[in-house]
Amino acid sequence: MELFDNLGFGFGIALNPINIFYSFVGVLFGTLVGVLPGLGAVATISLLLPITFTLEPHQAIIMLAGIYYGAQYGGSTTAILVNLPGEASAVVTALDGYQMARKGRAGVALATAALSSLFAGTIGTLVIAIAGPLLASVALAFGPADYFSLMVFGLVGAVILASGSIVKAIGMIFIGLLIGVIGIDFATSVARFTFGIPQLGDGISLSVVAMGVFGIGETINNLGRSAEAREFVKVTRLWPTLAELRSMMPGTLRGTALGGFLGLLPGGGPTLAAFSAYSLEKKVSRTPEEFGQGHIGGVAAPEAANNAAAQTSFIPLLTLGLPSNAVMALMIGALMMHGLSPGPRLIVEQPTLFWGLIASMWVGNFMLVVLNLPLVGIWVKCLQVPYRLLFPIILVVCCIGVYSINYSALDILFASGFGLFGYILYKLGCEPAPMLLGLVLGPMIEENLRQALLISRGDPMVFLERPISLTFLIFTAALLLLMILPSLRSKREVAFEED
Amino acid sequence: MKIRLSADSATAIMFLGLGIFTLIYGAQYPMGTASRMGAGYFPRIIGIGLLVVGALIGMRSFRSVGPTVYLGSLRPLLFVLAGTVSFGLLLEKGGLILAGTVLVFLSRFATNEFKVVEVTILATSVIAAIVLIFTYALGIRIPIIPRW
Repeated sequence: MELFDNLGFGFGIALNPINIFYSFVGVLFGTLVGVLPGLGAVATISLLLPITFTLEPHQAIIMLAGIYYGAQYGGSTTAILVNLPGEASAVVTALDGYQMARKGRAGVALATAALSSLFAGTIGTLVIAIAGPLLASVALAFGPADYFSLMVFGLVGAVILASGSIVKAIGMIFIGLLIGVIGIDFATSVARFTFGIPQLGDGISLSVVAMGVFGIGETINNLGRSAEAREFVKVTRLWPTLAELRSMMPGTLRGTALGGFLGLLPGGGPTLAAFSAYSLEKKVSRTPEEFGQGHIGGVAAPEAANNAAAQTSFIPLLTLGLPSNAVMALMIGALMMHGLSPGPRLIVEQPTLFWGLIASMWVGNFMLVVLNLPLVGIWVKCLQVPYRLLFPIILVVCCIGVYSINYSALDILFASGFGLFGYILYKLGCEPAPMLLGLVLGPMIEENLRQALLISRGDPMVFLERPISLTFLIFTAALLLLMILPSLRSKREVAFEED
Repeated sequence: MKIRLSADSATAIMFLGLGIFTLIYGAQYPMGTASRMGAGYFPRIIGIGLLVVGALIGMRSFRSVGPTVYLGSLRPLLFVLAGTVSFGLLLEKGGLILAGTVLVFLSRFATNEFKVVEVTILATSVIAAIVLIFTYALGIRIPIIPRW
């Protein structure tokens, strides 16, 4: 079997001591930022992005991916123990997890979260290994017009499935596209929107925007909020009984399936998956009234779903070069920093990276179970570090990180400007994540649009005449139409009310 | 008289402003034709998109009364940005020790608690950790001491 050969090859890379080390650093940081409220995976990955430049590409991606799925584990720990979700995807876990903890089953709730995450992670990784190469071979047939339509579909899909106002989110994509235009245009060698500043000729780096908005801007917002009172629940018996294992199994299976599918969609990701899995579990349950009172399925299903989605959201990135959420946009940034272009040829041209990453996810998930179950006491201690000690550290690391991208102090000033912009966006209720997607995809969209219209001699019908392109555009139109339908719209609002 | 600005109208103004700016500032770049897109072709699409979004949000703000913009205390904003901007201005000439100390001290004024001993220890340990991790372990060249 070719699949097993490839997986064996991947494990050869992932089990190399140096790569185990990078995976460990990734999941350790991921758990830490997942535990700490006020610092998310997006901010952490953008902080560490410049540092990964000194590593080999596969090591960099293995570490950054570890942060992403590690944060899902850490986020659920605080959700269960202090009713304080460290990540948005753990919001639903807090509903039943915290109730279980209050009834003296904190250890079992933690074990349920970790074990169902491990199961889902294992399946999710297997899905990438099987579906990745298949999808990539299909994508090899794509022309510029198809890519343009695919990216439009990806952006619109990302917006519709993300929370908040759709119109504002589309506006944020346009702002991202505008930032992406800054710099010298490759095709015409014209310096655009540089305001005569020579350093802007290379454009504004993704890290500068991400660290400004998610690092500096988030810090300002966190400081403006009053601190929540934290009440800790003691961790008791850790290992679930056989009966408890049996009762969490159906939820884990359903959560894995639903999360794995939702992770594939543009805009899909851990948060959407966790919310959907929780409502599905409640719907199929024979005792829906027990949900919110400490039902084990209410922990198992969303935890399985968010981890499965975190894994499968790598598929569109690695096979099509299409980021489905802000973290994936940063991953594209990381690949490009190493001179790699994400797309269908990545699997063939960079087998070390693709198969090494997949195998490392398995290794990382096992390390996470060890990190989060027996060592849970350490994370509780971390939670007690007051924010007033934490945020100056975040700011210094942010500034140094921004500086180290181009050794340019001017970039720190730009990042400060984006910090201010992030603060304004927060006050206006505009979600900044779509801006990162626009920024990453902007230059690619312009390039594909240019080439498609050059080939068709300026005829815009090319986007409708090519079947692949037409399919994506029909999907896009269908998504937009669905949003206008009032019934679906109200459902979507209900789903995000708890957010 | 107090002007109450709804979040929707403020957002509409932001998008409309950006759209107008993009179209006017971008007018200096040649438009080209569809088959030979000039440097100004894509920026014009973006500018129009921003205007449409701004107009849609603006229309909605007339129809319903949404939440107003709540500014809250400006203290975190001012001190955090003062800290990072000073860090950017000081780093290359003054070095990390000076710039980092200024950033930690300034940003701590964003909170109500300021204990001199605690902040001094914090600044010292952060700078020491950065020097160890970034310059020694990762080999990133950061100016550490002043060079005038």
